[in-house]
Amino acid sequence: MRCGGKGNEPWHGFDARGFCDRYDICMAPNTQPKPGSTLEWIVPAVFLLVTLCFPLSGVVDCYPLSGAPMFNQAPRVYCEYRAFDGKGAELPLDLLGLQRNDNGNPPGHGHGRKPHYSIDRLGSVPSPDQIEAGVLKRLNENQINVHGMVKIEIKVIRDLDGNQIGEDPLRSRIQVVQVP
Amino acid sequence: MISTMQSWLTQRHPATFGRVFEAFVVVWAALLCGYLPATLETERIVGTDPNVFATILSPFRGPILAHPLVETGFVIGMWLFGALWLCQRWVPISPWLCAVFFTLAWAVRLENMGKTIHVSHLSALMLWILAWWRQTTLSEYLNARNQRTPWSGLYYPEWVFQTCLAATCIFYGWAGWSKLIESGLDWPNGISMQLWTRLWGNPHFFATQWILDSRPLATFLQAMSLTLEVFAPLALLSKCRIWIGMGLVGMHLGIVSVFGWGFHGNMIIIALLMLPFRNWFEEGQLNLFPFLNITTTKPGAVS
Repeated sequence: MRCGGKGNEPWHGFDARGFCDRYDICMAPNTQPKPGSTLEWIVPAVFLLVTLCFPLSGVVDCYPLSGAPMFNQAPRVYCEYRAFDGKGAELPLDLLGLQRNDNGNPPGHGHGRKPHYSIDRLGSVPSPDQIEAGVLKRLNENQINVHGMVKIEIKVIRDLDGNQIGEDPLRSRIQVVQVP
Repeated sequence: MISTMQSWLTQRHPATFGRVFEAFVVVWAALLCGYLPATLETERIVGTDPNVFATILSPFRGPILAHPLVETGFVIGMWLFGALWLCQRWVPISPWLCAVFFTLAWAVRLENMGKTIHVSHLSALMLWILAWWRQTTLSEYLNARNQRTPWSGLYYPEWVFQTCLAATCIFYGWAGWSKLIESGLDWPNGISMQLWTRLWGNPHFFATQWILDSRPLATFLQAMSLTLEVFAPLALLSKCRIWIGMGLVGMHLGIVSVFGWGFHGNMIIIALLMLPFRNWFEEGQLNLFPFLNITTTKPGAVS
């Protein structure tokens, strides 16, 4: 049985007969595919518009909407840390605020909790004062025995020769933080 | 003009491609949900202050949202309704609830994290679009099922494909535009690529060492990524689609191989939408499931 639409009458001017004839749709009249209403595609169009315009609001991430900020910063330097107590035992970096919170996404967006305090930031080398203040702050919070001092090895990783990156021996340093 | 666009967007096609795409998105979403219980102890953070607005659940922060069982419950809900959706049971309730539970499960996780990840955003958008598709074409699907052509019936409107494609283009477009906004044209400097590779690259993969050993290669890869992302919306044009698609798939292959991050699903979504899989399915050149009778030659070939 041929498609039985009534020309231009139904579905907002959609030519059902032409549609069916064009594609040679042969089926029972009560099972012919119904071309959708305007609402059918307006809803996803609005959804797309919201997706497109949302990042313009200044909110970078509001899952499931996102301004996709992953790796949008271009750091040229970072630090690698190791820390030891007064007896030479290695200390966990997160107890000293030296752990890496960065995972390629700009910190501060798209997560509901603030990360544990850390001095480390991709793209910067903390000053000796910043290291000392940060480490003492975390030691006060964590109340761990470091036997009077913390020795921190700071490797600065950056461009070496225009072709490779690696540890910069001139900027890398060892810093000792005396703990009262 | 509007009438022509209306006709084009609501024109029905064989649902073969849509059903395969739908099945992939649901399975991938279920796998992404599997990541949540596997990392329940390691990725959630407790004892720190609330951060800025982060998800649609941010207004409801509190002890309930922080309870691990809430997240687990949403994951189980997603699996349950995802399975029902895959089996075409309770349509369109199952698609809606699958999308809802998936979105809530990941929103709860992100609400309880101290850093973010972007592996689930695109899948969430796809699930919502596909749920709306199944809602709006329910009667047509039932007709197709009665005619024993549930895989090839004419109930796949053009707007479903175009919306999925546009959402993907917007997501990747913003990935590029945000780089330009934040770092400008200096973003592809090669040094940052080498830093990320040293930090998170798989040291056993050959390309990792290549990137670390060659600034020109790192700069080239970064510049290509930026170009592809910035111009991702060009994939809406059929003539550019395959080139943008191949580029983005290649970029994801690199990301997955070097860094191991979970963008496998995004890569396959891009491949399905931007490479000619839809044509291959609709023209019968690709027939994955002969026993399901999903091959049709041209739109309207249902009898």
